[in-house]
Amino acid sequence: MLVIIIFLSFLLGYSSTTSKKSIPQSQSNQNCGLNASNVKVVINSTCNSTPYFSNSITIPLVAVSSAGGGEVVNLTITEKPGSGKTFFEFSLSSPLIANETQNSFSRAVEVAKNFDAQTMLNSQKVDLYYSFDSNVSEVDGYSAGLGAAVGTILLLKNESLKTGVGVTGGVELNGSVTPVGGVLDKAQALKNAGFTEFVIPAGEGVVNTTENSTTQNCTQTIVNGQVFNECFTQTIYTIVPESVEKTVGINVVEVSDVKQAYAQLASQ
Amino acid sequence: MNLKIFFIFILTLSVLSFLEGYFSSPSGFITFYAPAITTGNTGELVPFSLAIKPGFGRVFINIQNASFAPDVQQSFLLARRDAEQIMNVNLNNYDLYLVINNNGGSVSGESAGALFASAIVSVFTGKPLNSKTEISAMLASNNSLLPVDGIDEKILAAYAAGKTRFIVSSQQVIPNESELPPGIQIIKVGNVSEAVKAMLS
Repeated sequence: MLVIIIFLSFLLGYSSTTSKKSIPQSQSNQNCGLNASNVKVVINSTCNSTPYFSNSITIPLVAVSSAGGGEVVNLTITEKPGSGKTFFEFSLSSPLIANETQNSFSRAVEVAKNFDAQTMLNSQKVDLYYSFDSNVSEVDGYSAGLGAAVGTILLLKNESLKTGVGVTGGVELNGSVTPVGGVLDKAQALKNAGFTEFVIPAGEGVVNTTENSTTQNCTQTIVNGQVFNECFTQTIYTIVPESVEKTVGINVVEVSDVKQAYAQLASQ
Repeated sequence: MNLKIFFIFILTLSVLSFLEGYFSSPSGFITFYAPAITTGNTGELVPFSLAIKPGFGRVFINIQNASFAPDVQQSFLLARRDAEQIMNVNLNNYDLYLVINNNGGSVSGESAGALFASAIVSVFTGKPLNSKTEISAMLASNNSLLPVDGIDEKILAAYAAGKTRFIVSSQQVIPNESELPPGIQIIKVGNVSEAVKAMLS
């Protein structure tokens, strides 16, 4: 009984707001009907309509912890009917977000909005919500920027992410991708979590590792019939270029701008 | 049979309208001003807005106008906890939305903690914040209030903005108290409940 009362009170509370909204453009375009698929209920945004409810996308990113080693961190981006605002979630169960990360996301949102006419138009009708699903206490750095930009583009275009792919990279306002480092550890973390492809900044597919080899050099000198053995150890450091793809066994794709990253990460 | 279909139709509609309440963006923001110190070491009042909506116990910050340092996020989480205790409610079924309204680069520090707690109580209970009262105090883990930096500059900024009362922690030392203008009354309070009560009166 109580459940019914609660339910009815919600119904009364929200029906007033929903009744004012007719389903936008549903008659004007045959692609614009209410589209119910699993959890998300959206209006197909190929007709540039406002999503009726929220719609979200999850992007697998990888972080390198201060203790070393990579960790897969899922970023969920949700769009709700709104007016172009950007929110970050934090709570007792999700990490605090460093300023640098917030700034990189602000850039990512701008890049996504300016990506094409469709993302520009749709971004004005929604508010975007970003949240990390992770046990870490704080998220730092800017390497989530590229994933945030492409994720937002996919969401605004109502497209989905290719499965089995992770991404890392910084992004500038002009859409260019900036290097982030730690790619080898990140690739390993993705590989361990069952991912098959890793999209990274151009030039970071080869990592320079140092190898050292020790040799002992001995010289023998004879002075006045006495034999002197003189030995020293020599350590030679060699810089060995190591292919992330070969070392880890994951398909690595280098990208230099957001357009390439989008083409690589969109399913289809 | 037709009645059954009609019933299912009505049920679907009601579930959808229920979900929209949960999944739409917030409205009904209140605006409040946090005394702050700029990099140039002058005081200013930074405008924030806050809204509360049925949800899942989450907290959202708007990152468009400025970034919020992790210590600001931490102080907001403390404020949420203190507000829950003061009102004796659980906010796990609500989402909180915090927006900063000026175009600053970044906001840091915990001195807005007591103000955040007051704003949460204000939005949740519908009692307005006193527009003539300002506060600057850090929240501690035991509900007491801790002193903050730059208090003289903050009080002067509040006075310049027409505020007549300024609440600080009972532990707060005000270095130049005798030189402050008489038009603004300094009120020292011991804990967060007293602070919130004074902010809402």
